[in-house]
Amino acid sequence: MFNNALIQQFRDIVGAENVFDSKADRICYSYDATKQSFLPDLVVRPGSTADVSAVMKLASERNIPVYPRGAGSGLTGGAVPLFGGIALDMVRMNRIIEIDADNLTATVEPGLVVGEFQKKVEEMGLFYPPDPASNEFSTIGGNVAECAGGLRCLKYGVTRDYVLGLEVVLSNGDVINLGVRTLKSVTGYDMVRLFVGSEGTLGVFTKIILRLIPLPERLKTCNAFFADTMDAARAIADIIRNRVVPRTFEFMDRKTIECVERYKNVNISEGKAAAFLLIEVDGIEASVEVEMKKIVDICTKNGAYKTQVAKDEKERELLWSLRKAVSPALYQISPGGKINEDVCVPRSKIPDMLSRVADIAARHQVTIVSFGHAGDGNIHMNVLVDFDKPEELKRGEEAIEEVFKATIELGGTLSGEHGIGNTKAKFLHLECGEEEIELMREVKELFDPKGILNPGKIFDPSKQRVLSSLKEIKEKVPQYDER
Amino acid sequence: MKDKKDIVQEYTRVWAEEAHRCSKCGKCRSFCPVFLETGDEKMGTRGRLSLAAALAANQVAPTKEFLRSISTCMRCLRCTRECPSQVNFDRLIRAVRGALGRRVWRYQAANLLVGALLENRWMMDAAVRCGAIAQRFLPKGSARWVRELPFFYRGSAVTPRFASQPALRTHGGYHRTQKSRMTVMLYTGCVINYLYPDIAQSVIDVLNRGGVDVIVSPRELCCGIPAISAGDHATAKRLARHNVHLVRKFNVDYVVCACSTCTHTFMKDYPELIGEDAAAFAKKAMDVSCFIRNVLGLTAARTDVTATYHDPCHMRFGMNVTKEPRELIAQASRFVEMPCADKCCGMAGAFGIINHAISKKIFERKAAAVRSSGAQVVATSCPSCMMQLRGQLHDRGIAVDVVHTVELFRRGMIEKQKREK
Ligand SMILES: Cc1cc2nc3c(=O)[nH]c(=O)nc-3n(C[C@H](O)[C@H](O)[C@H](O)COP(=O)(O)OP(=O)(O)OC[C@H]3O[C@@H](n4cnc5c(N)ncnc54)[C@H](O)[C@@H]3O)c2cc1C
Ligand code: SF4
Ligand code: SF4
Repeated sequence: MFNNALIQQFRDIVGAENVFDSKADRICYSYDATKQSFLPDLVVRPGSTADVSAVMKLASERNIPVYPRGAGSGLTGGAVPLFGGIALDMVRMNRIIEIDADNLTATVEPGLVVGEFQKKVEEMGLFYPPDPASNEFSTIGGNVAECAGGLRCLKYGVTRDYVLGLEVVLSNGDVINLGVRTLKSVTGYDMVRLFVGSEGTLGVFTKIILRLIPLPERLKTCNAFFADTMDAARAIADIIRNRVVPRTFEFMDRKTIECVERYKNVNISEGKAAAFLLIEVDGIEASVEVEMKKIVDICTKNGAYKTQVAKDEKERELLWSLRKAVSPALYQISPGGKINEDVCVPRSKIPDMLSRVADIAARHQVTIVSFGHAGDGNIHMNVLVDFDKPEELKRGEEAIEEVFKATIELGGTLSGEHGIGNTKAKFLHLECGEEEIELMREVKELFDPKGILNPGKIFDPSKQRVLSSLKEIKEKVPQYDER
Repeated sequence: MKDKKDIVQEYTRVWAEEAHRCSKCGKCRSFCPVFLETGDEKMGTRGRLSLAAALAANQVAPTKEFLRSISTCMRCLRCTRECPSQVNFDRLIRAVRGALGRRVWRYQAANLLVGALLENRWMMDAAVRCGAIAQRFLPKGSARWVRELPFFYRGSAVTPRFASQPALRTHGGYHRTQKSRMTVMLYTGCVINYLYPDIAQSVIDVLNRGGVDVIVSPRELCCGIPAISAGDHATAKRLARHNVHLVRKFNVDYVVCACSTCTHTFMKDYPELIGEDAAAFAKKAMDVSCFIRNVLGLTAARTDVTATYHDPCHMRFGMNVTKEPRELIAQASRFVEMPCADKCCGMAGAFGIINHAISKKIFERKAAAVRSSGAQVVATSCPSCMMQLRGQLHDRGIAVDVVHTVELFRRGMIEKQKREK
């Protein structure tokens, strides 16, 4: 299908230097952080909305699947070109178009790296709160498409809460503008919300209008160690009941603490911690002092056997270093791989969830470490398995399926922030009813009747109706799977 | 001697281990200097790793694009230092290039030529001599600079002039002082030898003033980094053995070096190349700033200049040295920290010449940083970085002096002696 004439047409649109068709190049756009790998036929790097529109128009005429791609740091396979076609790399569209300090809004292009944007607005005394741990490299476009969360959700919410408007290119190349530049608006349906978290299946974002807030003046950070998970849970509830809303409320379970301490070769928990909390408040000087005092008191009252409050920036970094070491520590302890899930349960159900997980892990003989954002009930569960041992991998996957079921039973959701992608598509039915899924499919078909936008994501590919037009392509594409 | 098949297997094992460790998180996109400028996934750590794995699995051939990916790594060591999954990318890239050196004829030819030059001092001297003569016929850019050779070095409008006499010829020998506390060997390295013999002069002077006898052996050969980086491990091994044996002949406790890349090669690459043999040498090798600061504890008086410091990658990410050079500079001048001091200058030896366009782009950040720092002098601890800083700053019309840390420190020492009189 991709003959030279067709490739030339794409070259004419974006310039020859922005179309890659060599095997080596295609391999480099075949994966994301899930380590899956499927070769695209072509990599196209548009530089403007007009480019994207022309690319989509041509792709739609020729029935070519298109996979929008940010940094490829997604954890559910969102950017992976499952059925071949075009990997649409947004990296060139990375400008900050405008920062409006008076109205507290910013207009940016989707390929902009989140961390760079945060740095820029913070220099101006402004604040863009969504803060996924991947902020240094993931893009705003990817964040909006996955509705990224991060470490500050309890107080500040998630990406969704900061997207005011979008410029979107639809699958046929039409450009539409959604949303507003104002904080309020009830003009028609809230289409922006529909597109946030759409995982590249409804349209390609080409401009994003974001809401900003003033940068909080002061930060105050502490940590607390508990010998009993229930105590920690009570402390969390108590803090919020006492009308303190920390910006960050991170927790780690016993296994995570062990991993991290072994990795950093320290013994801060004195070997008896079942739960670790990292709490951070922000605001004006006077308020953070009072709030921090309250927090420490409440933790101690609820049985924390050790608390530490950072006195300066250096100590703050020290406290954070434990939390930040989680990822590398896990890699070191489980070099063969890990299945990473991010289920979310109502905050009060965290202890229930953790005890169920312990039970599931024991039954399936796998190690599961849990840590995450206690304030919003979002738990990152990592099943440590060696991908090269099929038997171990199978046990891990079975455990995950049970974890999902337990999550739903406790009134939770399959994914707090990483999205469904293709890795969780087969579990979607656990949470959403048949009718709901059907409705979502119809929405998808409305925007993308040919089903060329990011096929195989969110909905179970084996059941995806619109996919029939792609069947032929799927068989022709040589698949390249690293595992 | 291992036979060829063994070597290939060895490489494949290294590949499997390192590529497997990569979680494909994408964090390297935030620090790989080449990726940051090109935005091209194949020119970032993650892409290079994936391609290496694909080559080992016979899923891709060493095509033009493949070689572009592998050859545009500067070996700046950031990824090896900062990757959360602790991928030792440097080990991988050395192995990959080693395998390519065997398979790709262009590499083979280049390695043959470069190997011959590196291993035979007289050939290198002769080649540089020819270069020096050729430079005379070029239009002059300014008194200190020679205009570019159109097809040879396009990275900057100016290249440094080759020294009229290499440092090993003018400074080879035993430099004694009166009240000697110890004897060390100074390894000059090729860039200092052929381009900046003044640095060797300064180092000898500072060490002599500090009561240290200095040996400079005219028989030293290149540390081998060009060969390692080009994948010519056989030549690199021979060079390593030569230097290790040379040092063994002199009974010294330290081998001091003013080029951070050579020092790093001795400390980290030699043991991997030739094993046990290099262990003693690797322990003796020390960067000159660390030696002056930590072993000698010399002091200087503050001169009337404002200076800043540029971290050479091999120093910061390879040896984790950041403090000592800054302390020396702070003694000898008004020290100001510039933003992005740890950002790469983009030279990386031959990289800056072959990939001059990327190199120039990488320097852009550095230029802005130097400008905003308000410093009159930029000091650094690597002659290769100096070359880039001088050329690129000159090109942009930024009138800032570029010196080696030790040269600046020497001025401070002289100032101190003047005041004491
Ligand atoms: C170490 C690590 C830590 C992480 N921590 C967090 C965390 O704390 N919180 C969190 O929420 N996530 C986290 N993530 C997951 C990931 O970083 C986020 O999902 C992020 O939003 C993905 O951004 P990206 O630019 O890499 O997008 P990609 O992975 O490239 O793509 C993700 C999805 O977005 C779509 N997309 C990208 N650009 C566009 C566009 N312009 N228009 C339409 N669709 C588009 C793609 O098609 C795909 O479906 C983490 C990942 C890693 C590796
Ligand atoms: S930072 Fe390390 S683990 Fe992450 S993609 Fe790069 S090399 Fe792989
Ligand atoms: S060594 Fe430097 S240039 Fe090479 S991949 Fe690593 S970070 Fe990039």
